[in-house]
Amino acid sequence: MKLTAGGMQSSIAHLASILPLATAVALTGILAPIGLSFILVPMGFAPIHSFAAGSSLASTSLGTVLTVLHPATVGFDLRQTRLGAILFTAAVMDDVVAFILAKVISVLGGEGNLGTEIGRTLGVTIGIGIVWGLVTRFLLRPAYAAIVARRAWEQTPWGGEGLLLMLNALVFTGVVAASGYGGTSPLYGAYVAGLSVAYLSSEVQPPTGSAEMEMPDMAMSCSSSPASPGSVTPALEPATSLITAFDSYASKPLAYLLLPIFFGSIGYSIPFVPLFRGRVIWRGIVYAVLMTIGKLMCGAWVARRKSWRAALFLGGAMVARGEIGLL
Amino acid sequence: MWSSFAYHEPSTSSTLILIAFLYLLNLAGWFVQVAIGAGLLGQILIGVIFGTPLAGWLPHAWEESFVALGYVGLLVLVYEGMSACHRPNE
Repeated sequence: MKLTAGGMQSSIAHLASILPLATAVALTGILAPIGLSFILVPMGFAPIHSFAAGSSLASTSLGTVLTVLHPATVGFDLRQTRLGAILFTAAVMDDVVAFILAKVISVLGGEGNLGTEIGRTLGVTIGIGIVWGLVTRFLLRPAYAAIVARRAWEQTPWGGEGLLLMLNALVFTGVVAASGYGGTSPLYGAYVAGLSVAYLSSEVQPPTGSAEMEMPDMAMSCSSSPASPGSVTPALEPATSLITAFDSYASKPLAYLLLPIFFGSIGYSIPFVPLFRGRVIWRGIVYAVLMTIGKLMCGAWVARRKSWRAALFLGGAMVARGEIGLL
Repeated sequence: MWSSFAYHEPSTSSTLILIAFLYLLNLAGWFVQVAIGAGLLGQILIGVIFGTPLAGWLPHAWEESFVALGYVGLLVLVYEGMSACHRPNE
């Protein structure tokens, strides 16, 4: 993984550059399954069922995407690549849309008012993005810079990584709470919180050493591979940041306890036995084929600009998400 | 007044089931990861086997708890994913 030595693009600029493509991928991921579901209508399904089924498939299995993209899975850090970032962002967008669609379905089932529900969710989603962006830029960034500048804090028992972890926890919990209570998906809140932490960590450098030395340290904290070729003298400690603090405390419990439990809970949520009746099986197969086509269409967006392999990968990953959603 | 929660140790079989569940989740995850590169499928499979649909070894209260814990894990995963590596690399 190469990093440009001198200037670093801010993570916000990076996000802006992938946003159009990610939006296209996300929309295809939502609309194609729903649209294709309606093909089933002549086969005897009520349109509302097609809509519900299509939207449930479009709903993201963020956990799948992230686990597949995780460095431990693939061996290098896919998240650093543009493709990985697109897939990730599209997955989160799909999740918000799925959240809205779930509300739509409940409204069509007879409760609430469609306009207000959708309006509120969209408004809260966009609002949280804007408000938190501003808070990060104008409140958190100076505060974090002040903390980082005082290296002495790292030596105190209550300072250092524990303090940074608490900041991580506060940001995370706060934005998730705001999203959940405000009316949008808490997963979106986690996404925004992570984005703001990434911004803070990349924009605020510890004062020791030159910028060049900091970057290989960041590379060490991000990827699981050894430090990139660079001029870091072994005597220097890796830069402590919000991210390294989080990694050192949370990544193992996450990987070995919380995530296995998460996937296990998905496992027993599958209505397993009814799946094995013949009628359900052939319908399931037909549906899976349709949804695969829909998801692969997402790959078409990428095909024009990159190689066919990338397109297939993207489409295939979206299919994987959809299959989990099917379950 | 005060509501109380009487602390009762789980039975030996419950404890063993829980230990087995937690360890096998990880073991199956590793195994399936090496085999087909998608370890999470192994963990889903363990959930299927242990849970209500098949063996039914997990009490319903546990299954609810695991769903809640798992959801927190998902949130943290998203947070980590976004924060850890958002470094442009073109």
